[in-house]
Amino acid sequence: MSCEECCQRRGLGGRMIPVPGEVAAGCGLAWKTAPEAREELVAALEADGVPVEAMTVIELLEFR
Amino acid sequence: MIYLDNAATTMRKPQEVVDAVAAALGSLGNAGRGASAGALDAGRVVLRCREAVAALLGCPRADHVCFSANATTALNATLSGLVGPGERVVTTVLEHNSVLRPLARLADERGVEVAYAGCDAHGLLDMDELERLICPGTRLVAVTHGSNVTGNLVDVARVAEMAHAAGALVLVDASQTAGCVPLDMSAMGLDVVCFTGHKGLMGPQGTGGMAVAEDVDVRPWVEGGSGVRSFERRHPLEWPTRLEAGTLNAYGLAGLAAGIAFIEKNGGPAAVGAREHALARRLYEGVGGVPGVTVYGGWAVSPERCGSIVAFNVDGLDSAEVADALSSGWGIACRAGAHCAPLMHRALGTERQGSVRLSCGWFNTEEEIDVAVAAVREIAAG
Repeated sequence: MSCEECCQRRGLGGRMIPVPGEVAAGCGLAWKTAPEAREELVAALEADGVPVEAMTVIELLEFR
Repeated sequence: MIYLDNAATTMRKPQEVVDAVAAALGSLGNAGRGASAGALDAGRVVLRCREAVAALLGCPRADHVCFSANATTALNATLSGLVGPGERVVTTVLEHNSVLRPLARLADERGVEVAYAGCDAHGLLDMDELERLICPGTRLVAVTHGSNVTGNLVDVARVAEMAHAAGALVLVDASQTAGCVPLDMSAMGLDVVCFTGHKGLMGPQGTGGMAVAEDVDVRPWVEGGSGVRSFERRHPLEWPTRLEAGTLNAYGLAGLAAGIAFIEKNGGPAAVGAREHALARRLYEGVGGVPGVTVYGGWAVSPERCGSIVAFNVDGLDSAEVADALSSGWGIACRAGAHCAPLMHRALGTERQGSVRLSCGWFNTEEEIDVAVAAVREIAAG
């Protein structure tokens, strides 16, 4: 939730999703955004002291 | 009703707290359990509350604010998670059973050595004795920030200096002070502060928690559902999850955040506490001079070290009898008896009689205080 707060405050796109099984087995939350936003995202999270457990590029379906 | 039992709970809540809880009840999912809109909204509410508590208590990291059902649970978790077999803990006779009983259990089950610093005739903590008891090898010093019997405050920054000089950690029970006496963990060097949400913070019952300094390792006390790492055999160690097994009280935390916002809107803990202290001082000055009334606490010698409690007895009357008379005769709500603080009463010599505790809150008025003074005067006159 700190990640969401950080990104929304800075106007960075993305949203919270259930953590995909390819990233971690079990349950939890992940921040979903476009791969090209990676650099800006990392800088923002570092600046706000939000810890990052993992960052993975995967293909996800968008239905609507 | 004249409500003067704010040390038990602040019964009158700001309307913002009521509204926040009502709104939460109809809209929040389970924080940290999935990414549905309701679950995320609950997560946002919890995060806002975490950040508000961290700011209020001077905790450098919001994710080191962990929520529990009340201060008792937080104190149990902290004591159990910090103190290992055979280690030494120093505490005081001012403590509530929420500290004394977990320590007794640790003594029984882990062979923990517990030493108790005493107090003077006014119930003020004997800081010299405390310093003598904190010897090298002491693991933890557990002190209240304010006695729930007398309202006497403890200089916890000084206690932290003593503890750290001996290599010990310091745990502060802020049940009576959070929200109405300034606390700054970073500036005061406090390692853990346990708090309840339903007293000075003006939030709902069922809320509380602990704020933990960055380099302090409190091991999980309760293990279970975490919403993350479901296939790991034991509870995750990441903050704040390590101390938050099971579903959080997001409804209550919505109200707690509103309570803290109310305090900040009204000038913060110093301003809120000053108002409550002024009411208590008026009460003390009225009750203290009544023939046959004995007031406990530091009011006569160091009123600046008193909170918003006036504790007293009427000669020859059981405290429960006085409390009942105040309730039935004047509609005054207060608390009699031992207040779950047996060592404090033993030190004051009030084990049998207990004491009558009148405790002021933000919503009390001078007129209510004057009615209480007149009532005590009439009861004491027989």
